[in-house]
Amino acid sequence: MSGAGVHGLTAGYAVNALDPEEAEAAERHLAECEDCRRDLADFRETAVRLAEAETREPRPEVWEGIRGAALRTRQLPPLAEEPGRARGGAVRLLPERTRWLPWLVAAACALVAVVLAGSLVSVNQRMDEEARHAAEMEALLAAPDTNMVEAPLGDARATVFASYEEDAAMLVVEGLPTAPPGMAYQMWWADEGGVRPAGMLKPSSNGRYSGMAENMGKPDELRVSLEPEEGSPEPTGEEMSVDM
Amino acid sequence: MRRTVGWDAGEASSPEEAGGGGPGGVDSLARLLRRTAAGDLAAFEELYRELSGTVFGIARRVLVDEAQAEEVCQEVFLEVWRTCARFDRSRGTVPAWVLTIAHRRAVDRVRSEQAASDRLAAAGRLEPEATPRDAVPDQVEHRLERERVRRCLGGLTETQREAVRLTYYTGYTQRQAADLLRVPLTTVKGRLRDGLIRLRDCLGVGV
Repeated sequence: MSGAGVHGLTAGYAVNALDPEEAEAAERHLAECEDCRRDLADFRETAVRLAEAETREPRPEVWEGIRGAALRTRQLPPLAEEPGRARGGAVRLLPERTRWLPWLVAAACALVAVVLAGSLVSVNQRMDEEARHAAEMEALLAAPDTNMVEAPLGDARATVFASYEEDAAMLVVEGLPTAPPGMAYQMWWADEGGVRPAGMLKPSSNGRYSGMAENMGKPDELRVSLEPEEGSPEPTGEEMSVDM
Repeated sequence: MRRTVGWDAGEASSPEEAGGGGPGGVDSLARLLRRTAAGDLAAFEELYRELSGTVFGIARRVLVDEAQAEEVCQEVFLEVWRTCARFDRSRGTVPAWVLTIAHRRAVDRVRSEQAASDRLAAAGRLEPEATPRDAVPDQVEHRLERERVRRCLGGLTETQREAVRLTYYTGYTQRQAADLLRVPLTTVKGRLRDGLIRLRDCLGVGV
């Protein structure tokens, strides 16, 4: 079964927009339809992105309330597997990218690297740095000619916000392998004049990397390579590129 | 009325441990959730730090009212604490699970209170706020995510955007949205589905 009816039900279910009876029908149908479960997972992941755009930290009291309530609340045990119930062992709804790369050990190393890097500068300096960075980003996003490009970068996925007027670009990459200790990702501008350094990428939340690339000029490509963490004058690692 | 069994809440957890995720990524959240299921309050707090901004943010967006959004935030994390041993990662990521609970609880409240007109008026805006009111510089990630979502919403047709706004952001059922817009239910279903597909592709989900 396919078409607007069923998929409309899946979309509506994903954003909690069904009446109770419809929701029950959707759940029955989802149990039978692997494609629909995949759609549902994708729609919910889409909704996560919509929600992330609304991010705002709650007051500290909220956690205190939750912590207190958790201490008084019994946790449910895992459900026992029901005999004879089809577990559908082949069904995997995890997005592909979560299986792209062997993150497991690297994740811990990256966290250590961030902490070490952070301890080298004073808190004040870091705040200034952050404020300056935020201001640059706001200027870039507000520039009338800012263009957004999304493209693969090696096996990862890059989003570039670029403005000729601001002579800068912001790069966010999702799905890059965590840089090994002592190494970092460096950005490069490539044009007919050659390749020039464009700044470093820093790890940010959700395993993404981001960085501001300045002195853009009129580049043909934005490239990224793995380099020693202090940066290199020219690329030494394997280069991945996005057409500009 | 709240559904407690669905494609997000119940059922046996997957034995699969393979998978990836960066720092703070999908995999480390799954690990935090497993530790939380074993009663580890420190892991639960870490999980809260990772997801509370998004949970509170979407609850606040749907409910408009800050106090109600805080209550929803508490309910959501308590439900996560209670039921996390039953999370099934083969059905989706930890953020998708937690935010589905959050959105459902927020729209349940909207529907039970049946919509004071001022709340509806306030919820009428579609785009994420362009300028964060927070005093601290917004995290790069959040600012860019907001910008990206704003642009992707801008890429929808007017009617698709309206369907997404009325359901996801305002908490209407598709049927209520159809009544409001005076169009057939199937029309709204189609617009919502097409809008979500376009957003999915624009936001690079599931590639």
